[in-house]
Amino acid sequence: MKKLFYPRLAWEGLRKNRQLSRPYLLTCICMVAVFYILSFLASPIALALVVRGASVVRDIMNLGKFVILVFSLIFLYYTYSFLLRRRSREFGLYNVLGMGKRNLVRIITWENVITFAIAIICGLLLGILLSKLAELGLVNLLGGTIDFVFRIDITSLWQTILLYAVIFGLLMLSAIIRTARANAVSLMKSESAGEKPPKGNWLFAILGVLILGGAYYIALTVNNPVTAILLFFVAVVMVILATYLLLVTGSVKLCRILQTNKGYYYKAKHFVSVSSMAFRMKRNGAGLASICIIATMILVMISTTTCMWFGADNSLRKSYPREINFTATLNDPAKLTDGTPEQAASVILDELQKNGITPKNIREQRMIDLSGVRKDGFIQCDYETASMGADFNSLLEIYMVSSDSIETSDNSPLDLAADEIVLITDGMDYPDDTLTLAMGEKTRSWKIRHYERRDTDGDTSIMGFPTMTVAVANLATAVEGINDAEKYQSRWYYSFDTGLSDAENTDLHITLSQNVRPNLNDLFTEDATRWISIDTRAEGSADFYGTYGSLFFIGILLSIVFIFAAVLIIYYKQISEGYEDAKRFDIMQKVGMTKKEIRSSISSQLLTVFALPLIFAGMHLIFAFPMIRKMLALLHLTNVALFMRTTVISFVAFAVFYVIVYRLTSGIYYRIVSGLNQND
Amino acid sequence: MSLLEVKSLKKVYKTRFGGQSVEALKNVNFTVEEGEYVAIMGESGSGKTTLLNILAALDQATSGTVLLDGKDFSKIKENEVASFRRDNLGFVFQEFNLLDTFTLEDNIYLPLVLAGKGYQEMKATLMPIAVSLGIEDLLKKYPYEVSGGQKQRAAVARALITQPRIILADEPTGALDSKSSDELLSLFADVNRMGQTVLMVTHSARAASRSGRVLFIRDGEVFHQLYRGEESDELFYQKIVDTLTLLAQGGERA
Repeated sequence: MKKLFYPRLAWEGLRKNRQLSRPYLLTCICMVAVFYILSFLASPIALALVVRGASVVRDIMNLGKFVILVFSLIFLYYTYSFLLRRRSREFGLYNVLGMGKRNLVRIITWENVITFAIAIICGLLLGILLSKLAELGLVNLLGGTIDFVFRIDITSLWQTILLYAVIFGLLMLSAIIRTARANAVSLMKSESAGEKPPKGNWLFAILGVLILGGAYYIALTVNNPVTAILLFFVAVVMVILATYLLLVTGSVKLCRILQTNKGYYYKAKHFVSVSSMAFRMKRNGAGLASICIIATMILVMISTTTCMWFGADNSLRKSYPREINFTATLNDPAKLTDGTPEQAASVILDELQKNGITPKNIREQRMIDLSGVRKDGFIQCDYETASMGADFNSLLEIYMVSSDSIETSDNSPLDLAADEIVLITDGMDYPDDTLTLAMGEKTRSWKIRHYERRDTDGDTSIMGFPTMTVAVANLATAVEGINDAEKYQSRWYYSFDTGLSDAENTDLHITLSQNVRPNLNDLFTEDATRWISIDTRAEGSADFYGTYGSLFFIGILLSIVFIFAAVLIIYYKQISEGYEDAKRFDIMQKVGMTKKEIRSSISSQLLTVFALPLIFAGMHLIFAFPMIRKMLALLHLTNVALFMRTTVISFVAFAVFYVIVYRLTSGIYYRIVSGLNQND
Repeated sequence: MSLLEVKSLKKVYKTRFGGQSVEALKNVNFTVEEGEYVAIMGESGSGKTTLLNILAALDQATSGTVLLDGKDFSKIKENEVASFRRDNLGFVFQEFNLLDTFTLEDNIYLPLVLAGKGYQEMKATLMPIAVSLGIEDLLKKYPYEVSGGQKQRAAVARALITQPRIILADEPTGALDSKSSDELLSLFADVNRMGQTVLMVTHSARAASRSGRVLFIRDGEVFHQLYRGEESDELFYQKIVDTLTLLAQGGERA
């Protein structure tokens, strides 16, 4: 009996505070479950079922596990400290009644042990149950054999138990340290300590506006994908910082400014709202900022991964224009024009004929591709330095093609002289009437016979930079004498569709590699060839769908966890506000406000406070949009309409969900406020 | 006509599931004349707080009437109660009931703001009151920055600023030390001398001895009342204590 004293006390403590501890437990359970599911999906048992891109799936699931783990630690710490703060009065009472710190530590220890046990048992059970669903979902996304065998991964089980034991150990340690530092009186008082009025801080408010402005400026002005990736994280950190600054101190400052406007402030409508908003924001600013950040995270994640998944096919076609793709990368551009490509093509066709395959949609392309940096009056083309150069904003992709392979928009005849070109740009303007390329020491100049700009929103580019397509009379002579192949690359592309299934295409790939590749090597000669590759869309699709499918999947799973977290923050916020407002509600009524007035004043405050994170998240999302779009372009996801659609749908869905949660939790709020009212 | 008339007031509380009923007020009758300073005394559970809540229009009587300037409380419409309270009654509570989100000045303005007064007008009304209560230098401070006595003076200012017909004070000295209590009681006496009607509920014989008349409540009825007449505070105090002793011993009406 005596042995069970502390566990019993701890259990009673959890039970009595169920309004607070139940949601906390639920969150713990949810996190454990999601961690197990991800762990399970990364295990060999689950991966064996997936046909496409198993290794990519594993990597991405492991990344997801890491994110969940870090998030669990931060978030559970946050909520647990909230719980502890609420309960410090109870601990103070135990302390006054004669319990030493040692006894309190034992209670806290037991509480954590109980919480851990419940979280692990329920979490793992839930995880195991849902892992089958997750597995079906993933197999469905990525292709594979669906069966109804129930699988449990023991390694994942142990891993989950171990890692969460560490997290709970850390939580417990922090609680023990906190309790050991406090004394009885401060424990008793900590909830009712007189609150100083918040002072808005000019510096922080202005800093918040400036940082946010800076982040938005970056997001809007970035004009190429590589810079976007580099700066995205900078912008994210800036936005997070600014959100906290603005919601914590900026909003208080705003209330203070409103208060100095006597005509505005001393109106029945604004008087109570403005002054209590200042207090509310001081206490809840951080919580609101967290909600806002989480909301933005969910929205970005869902909209991007959805866009990736639905755009995967497009992206795949862009990367693999045909089902079978030959690429010969050459050192010597002369090989492009000396008839070798024609011979190579016939070798390929012969082999196909032997296998009884008729190729369709044959596409043959010869080009010299260069990267350049626009300088004053010429373009510096230096393949290595230009692509490594830091200034991504001035980088261009230049594709030099033979004039017979393109058509101008007005179908003008293209019998070009050796010093004439046709120039087509995408994503940039070229106002001069000559084009000068500097390649190493040498330069070449051409007169521009015909110029047009064709914007395809990144469709012509490979790296996502602005492109120039330069049509010349003869490819080989255009770069004649510039033997340094580091300055440019000559490529021959030969691609076609076969109309076969993925598996047959994969087999064909092997046949072609064995029978055709040696011949091609001979044709292009060892010296002139850098490499020859044969890619099939079938194999590419495994990687593509593996990547995008599992990202999509993880986007959904993580969103669920984050939504849980956001709901919990909202819930705790409502509860703590309810307790704070109860007394105020009572006073205002005694001083002569009607219940209706008080209610409408409070609900308008709650609404404002609640709308803020959503408004901020929406704002962040709007400004992040162009930046994310640029990054997606790098993955050949150039369908802006699709991305716009997934973003808007995500936002609307989230907003609806948010309003529902607000409705439900504000019910709890009103119950607390009016409940205390009756007890008075 | 009396300022306040309470006639055969009765209040019965039912327990939640309609089981036992508790009679908080049985049959209360008394009147308060304009400019009077009346104290209501009684032990815990005698029905004092119930009475005050009914007088404050925060609660409704089961039967009986309360008339202020001849206006029946039970006839006031639900949505007019708050503004009626604001215009006619001033409150001073034991726990001050100042909002910690406001400065003392804004706390005092609260009823006027609710009544839709402009800032300049409110300020003009406040200044003489603040000077007479000695809080003119504290107006920009927040409740947490000032002492209990100062908070209570701010609460009195809030009660006075609407120029109410009657001030209802509920144990106003309950949370104050003896020096602050004495100051506050003097303040009430001064306010009363200037013509303000005051009705105070209190435990403290010392507080009651500063009033003009004391009503004793026991078991939901006015059990006895004492008039000060021309007596000094000390003599009146002695009489109150004697009556309380009698009450405690369960004696019959003197």
